[in-house]
Amino acid sequence: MTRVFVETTVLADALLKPGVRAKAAKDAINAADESLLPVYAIKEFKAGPLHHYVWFHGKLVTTQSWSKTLEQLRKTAMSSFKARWVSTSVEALEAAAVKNRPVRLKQLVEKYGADATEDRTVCDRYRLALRSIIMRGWKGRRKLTTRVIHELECYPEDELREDRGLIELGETDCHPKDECALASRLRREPKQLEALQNAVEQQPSKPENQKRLQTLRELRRPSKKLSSSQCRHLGDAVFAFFCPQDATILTTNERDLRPLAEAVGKTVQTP
Amino acid sequence: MAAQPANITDISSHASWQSTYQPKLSVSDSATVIESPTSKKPAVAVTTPAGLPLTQVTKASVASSPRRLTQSELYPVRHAFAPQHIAALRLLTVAIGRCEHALAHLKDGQKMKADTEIQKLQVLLPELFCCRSLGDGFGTLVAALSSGLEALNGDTPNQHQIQAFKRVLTLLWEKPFLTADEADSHLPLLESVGLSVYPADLLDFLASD
Repeated sequence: MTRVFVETTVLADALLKPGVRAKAAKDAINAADESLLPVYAIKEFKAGPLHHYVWFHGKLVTTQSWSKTLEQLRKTAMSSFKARWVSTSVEALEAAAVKNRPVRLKQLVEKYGADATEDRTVCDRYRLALRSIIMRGWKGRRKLTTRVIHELECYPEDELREDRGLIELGETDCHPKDECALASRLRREPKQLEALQNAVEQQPSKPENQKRLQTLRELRRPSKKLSSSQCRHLGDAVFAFFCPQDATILTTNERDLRPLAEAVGKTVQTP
Repeated sequence: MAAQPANITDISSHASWQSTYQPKLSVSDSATVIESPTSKKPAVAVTTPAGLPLTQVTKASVASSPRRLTQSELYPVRHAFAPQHIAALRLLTVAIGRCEHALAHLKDGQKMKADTEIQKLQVLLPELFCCRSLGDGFGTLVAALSSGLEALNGDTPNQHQIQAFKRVLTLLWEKPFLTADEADSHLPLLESVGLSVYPADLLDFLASD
């Protein structure tokens, strides 16, 4: 029997990237006899990629202009969009808007006003599409896999709602009463924690690895309480740790996850 | 300045007009006659007396009445029959007719004629999208129809795809004020027949790393 343990990147592909990426992710999930989604992936999904989509949608709502939103996309230093600025994607998107411009009829602008202008039309098409992708993605999160596991008592998983056209994510952080709900489960396996710490030490010293390493060190000290921000810093280590021994981690972030997974005897697969 | 010659005859007084004129629901440049989806139903009143208090149209009074609800009772007065609503109903009637004709042509093996009807449907959609002030649900579904047709890259949609277009257009005709969430729940209808419901350019952007 094959089992996959779905990581955040695959969850985001399946729910937020309709088309080739979503199909590849869903095919990989459905190919396994059993697919497991930890709630930690939902938490990361909401605080990361879903938040970025909501930001993008909010810009379309508030500027009511595609050209102004495009300008904001270029300016904003949000990490997930960073790579896209330097890629040709933004230019391609801009070119697509220009390509469609002659289609708009002058008579429609005279008849319907600003709603018929190219800038507003593209803005609204993208706004409505993003809203739909966001809402359907969120609604579908617990239906994607055969099981959702590792519920987090301190994570509220609020529903999305709309207020004045903007999408409200609700709470994205945990609210532990004493400490993070994962802490006691992690501390039960000190050898795995040590193995993960050693693996992270071997990884490039980028900020996220430094934070992960620090958190893993502190976890091994019983006097330290694991905070919600430290829980977030653990990131990939959580998937390597909690993936069942007979399951494979399904991720698109193989480069970062494989060393951690192998350190604790787990395997990694990409869609 | 000299007055314009009064060469305009009142059309209602013209004998031949009264005997031959039939209101047409189809577009003027159309070679085909397209009828309303409800043309077989008896006409119903669509206005409410201005002086009638809104409280008189209660749920109980509606439930106990055997008569058909008017559109003004079904829809909020401020939104119903706005210019965009009227334009949308007109365009939707034409668009549904285009789908019906395309399906009939496909059944007869006349693929080019079917494709011509679909082309005429496609060019209606930008104007239909201009009526999106009716609501985000309306805009979502019209945009989805546009994306679906654009993604075909000029190929003629198959019978199932045209049927899906027709079902969505009929839904919009019946419920133009549907919510965005309701609209979302109908998108799988288009997706299930292989149609993409989001703009391809946006999807390319979102999928890029």
